[in-house]
Amino acid sequence: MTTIETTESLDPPVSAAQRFLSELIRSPKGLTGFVLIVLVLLVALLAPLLAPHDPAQQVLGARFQPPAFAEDGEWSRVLGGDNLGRDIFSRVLYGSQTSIMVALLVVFNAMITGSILGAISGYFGGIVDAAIMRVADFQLSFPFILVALLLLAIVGPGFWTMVFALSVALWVSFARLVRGETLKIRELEYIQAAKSIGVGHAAIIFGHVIPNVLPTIIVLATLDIAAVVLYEAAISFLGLGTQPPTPSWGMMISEGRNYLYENYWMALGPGIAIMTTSIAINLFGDFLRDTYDPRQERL
Amino acid sequence: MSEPLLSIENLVTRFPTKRGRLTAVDGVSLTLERRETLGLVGESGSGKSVLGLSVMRLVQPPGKIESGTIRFAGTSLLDLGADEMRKLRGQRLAMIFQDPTATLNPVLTIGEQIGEVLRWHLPSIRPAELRERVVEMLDRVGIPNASQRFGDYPHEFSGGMQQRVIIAAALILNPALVIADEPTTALDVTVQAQILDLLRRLKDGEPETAIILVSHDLGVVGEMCERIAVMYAGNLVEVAAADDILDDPKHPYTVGLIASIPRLDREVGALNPIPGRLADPVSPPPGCKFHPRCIHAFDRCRVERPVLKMLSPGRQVACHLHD
Amino acid sequence: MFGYLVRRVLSALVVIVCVVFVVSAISKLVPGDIVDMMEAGNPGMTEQDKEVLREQLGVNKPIFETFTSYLVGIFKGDLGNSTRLRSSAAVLIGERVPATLELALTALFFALVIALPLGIICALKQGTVVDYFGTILSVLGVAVPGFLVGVILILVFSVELQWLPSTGYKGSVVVAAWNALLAWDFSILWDRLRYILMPAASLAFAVVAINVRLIRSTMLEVIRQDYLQFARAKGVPERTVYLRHAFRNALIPTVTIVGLQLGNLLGGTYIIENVFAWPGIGRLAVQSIFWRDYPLIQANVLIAACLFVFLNILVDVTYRLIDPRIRYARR
Repeated sequence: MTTIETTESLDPPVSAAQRFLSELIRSPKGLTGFVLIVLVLLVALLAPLLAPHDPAQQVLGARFQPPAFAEDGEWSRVLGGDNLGRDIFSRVLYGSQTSIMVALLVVFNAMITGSILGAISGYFGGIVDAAIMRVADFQLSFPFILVALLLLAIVGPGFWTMVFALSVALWVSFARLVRGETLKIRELEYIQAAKSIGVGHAAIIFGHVIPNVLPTIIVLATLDIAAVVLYEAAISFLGLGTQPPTPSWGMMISEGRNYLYENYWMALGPGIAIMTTSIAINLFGDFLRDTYDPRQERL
Repeated sequence: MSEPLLSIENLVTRFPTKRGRLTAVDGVSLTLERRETLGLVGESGSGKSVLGLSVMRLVQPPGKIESGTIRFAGTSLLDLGADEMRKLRGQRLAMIFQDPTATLNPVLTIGEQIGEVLRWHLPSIRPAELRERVVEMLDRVGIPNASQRFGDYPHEFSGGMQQRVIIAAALILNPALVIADEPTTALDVTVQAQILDLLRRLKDGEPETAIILVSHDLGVVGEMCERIAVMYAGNLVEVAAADDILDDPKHPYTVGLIASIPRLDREVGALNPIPGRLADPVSPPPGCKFHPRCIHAFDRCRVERPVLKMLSPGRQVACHLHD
Repeated sequence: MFGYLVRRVLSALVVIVCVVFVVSAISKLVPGDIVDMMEAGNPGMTEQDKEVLREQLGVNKPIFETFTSYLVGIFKGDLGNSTRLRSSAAVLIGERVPATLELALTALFFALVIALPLGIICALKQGTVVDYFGTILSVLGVAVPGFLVGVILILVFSVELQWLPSTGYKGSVVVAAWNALLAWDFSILWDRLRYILMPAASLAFAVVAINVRLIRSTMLEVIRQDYLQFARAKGVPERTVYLRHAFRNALIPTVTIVGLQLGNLLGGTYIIENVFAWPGIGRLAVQSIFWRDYPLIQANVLIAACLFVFLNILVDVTYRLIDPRIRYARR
């Protein structure tokens, strides 16, 4: 049989940042997602500057005031007033802070806890591994909402309980990911070599496992952030999460649902905000996955 | 002289790709007589598989046969309607595919899959008779306990057995032409020999069947075939009797192919690959497509495409060296 | 297969027992005095009530004792009494399970009726406008939460168009459908159907979106398979190639996919029921949390866990039955 020589060209090395930017520019969905995310982050950061009114201030005269483009509306209250006369637009702006903060907190928690547990589980194996994975499997047999509700039931509704409940619900996917990677790497020769010359466990985990699995973790984290924004909204919608007067998009939709006849922007305003944020993060997360981890094509 | 069984003239098959139009078969002319076994040799990407698919008119869109003629048993295949062509497939023309595990449908029993050929071509056949014929065929291809295994699923068979099932489906209606596209490539070496043996036996027992054996392996083709056609980048470069090609190859590509085969009977210093890369089917080199890799290339080769010409009775070469 | 079933059921029982353990230990898990917390949600509790509750919840007993007594109670059909509603938790939940199941199944039906054909069409017509539309639907399905879909539907169909009621329940749709077929009178059926349409649609939305995408990929993969060429080479007509070979093979992963969605669907009812005040277990669960009605919470969690575990087994077994590669693996 014939063997054919090939000559291949080698691309010049590019820095990670350069690669990210060049890929981003070439991807319409990545770019859209990214731009929208930046927008939302800016809104969250600058809410106190951007909001025309205090989100908690109740003005009797502005109860159910129609939005600016309807008759009887004013441009000072673009989306009108809610059932207590608060400016809907300002509340929507401030609501972004809640969503972003919860999402970042939860994902950060879950990422750290999950990764560490996963690494320990994969690296040491044996009983530790079995124990951790049993708990993970047990938790996975139930949909996330049930786990969250149980925790909320035990500790009582509230912002921090919700953060805790969501973190608990989310750690498993990170743990499994890191565990899988750890198992693969553990058996590689250069790891055996490192171990034989006395390199410590922690060094191996942090020096080898984590860098290898980092891109996948970041993709997972990004997509999870989108999910958490929605979960927080759902739980707050039920009244079990963020408590008044802190504005939360989910809670606003819940209140708005009761007053759809009076001013449906109470619900629609935060609704559009959630949709935009969620779509943005999903698009960007999709882009990340296509670029950095194409074998994980799930959607 | 009676008309050849199969006569291909200037066949061109192309695929649109992102990079441009890919010409898989670039003006191939070939004839095949009844009962003949022809080997079609070439490396991956030479177009040999697409040639086979083109004859069967199984080229899937967006690829298509763009020009040329194919005459089979007196009929122009390219002029037939879809349903008329369909009636020929499995009955007068059949194909054996490369990877038996991928070729068999995992959720249907092998009895159902072989029986399908009978059901579509003999619509009034009764279930009992169908079963009988399928079992008989399974027996002929060497499947032990054929009658019990009729209702088994493909995953219950080994690779070699699966290929026998496919051969059974291809030959059950005694087609005049069988195109075997790399039938042994996906199998173990020992199984390879068995399958080739089976093909030879079946062919000898079947008076009318002609076989086109497509392969990248000269050894396989040399064993089985009376004539060999060598393909490179969509063109035939040499066609001759098997012995002639193996003992005295004329085209530099053929020479290179044979020289690169590792030999067990001699001491070999190093392997002899053909240098360079396969011609790009989207934008091939000007003139002779092989010239960048040919040690004998001269000026004419860079400019003018050589045409397949008869060198002596039964020998054709497409090379300016032999013009 | 039978062996597998037995093993699955056994491991499911283990899971349930763990859940019972966690649930029965609730009085230990709640920070602070559980009965005092309950009082917050149930004004008007007497000292006597509190004592009864302490007894029920095993406040002063060791975990193991509470666990066993709760377990015994389950076998007797007693899941405790709801403090707020002053009746048997088992009965309260039992009354509401049918409504939830109906909602979930109707949503599943909607989801399949839309996602299956749409997914297949998107695959067959890859790259065309329909496919693009399907992609947009998928993105929306992931990004737009169910409760928001529900609120938007209410806005459009109840507030603006006034075609459908935004809350309410008039009885089982399935029963009404059955009666309607028998008596050939569909008025009652439509009357009841009006209430389930929007909740089911909201629930189905996310599921449809994901399924369209997954069915599409499955179908795309199947279309590329070599066994389709083999069928063509045998002289099988194109339409049969698609129906008998492609479609059937795509069915197997599709069933798995749909099966996996059932859990999500059931989980979604916990939220959707609260948008539409649908009288199912989801609504009861959330209410019980607000009321700090711990006995009711315990019962809710337990029933929910059982439902999900059972569902998982059902899906698993079905998948094994339809894929011959698994069914006959040990022949």
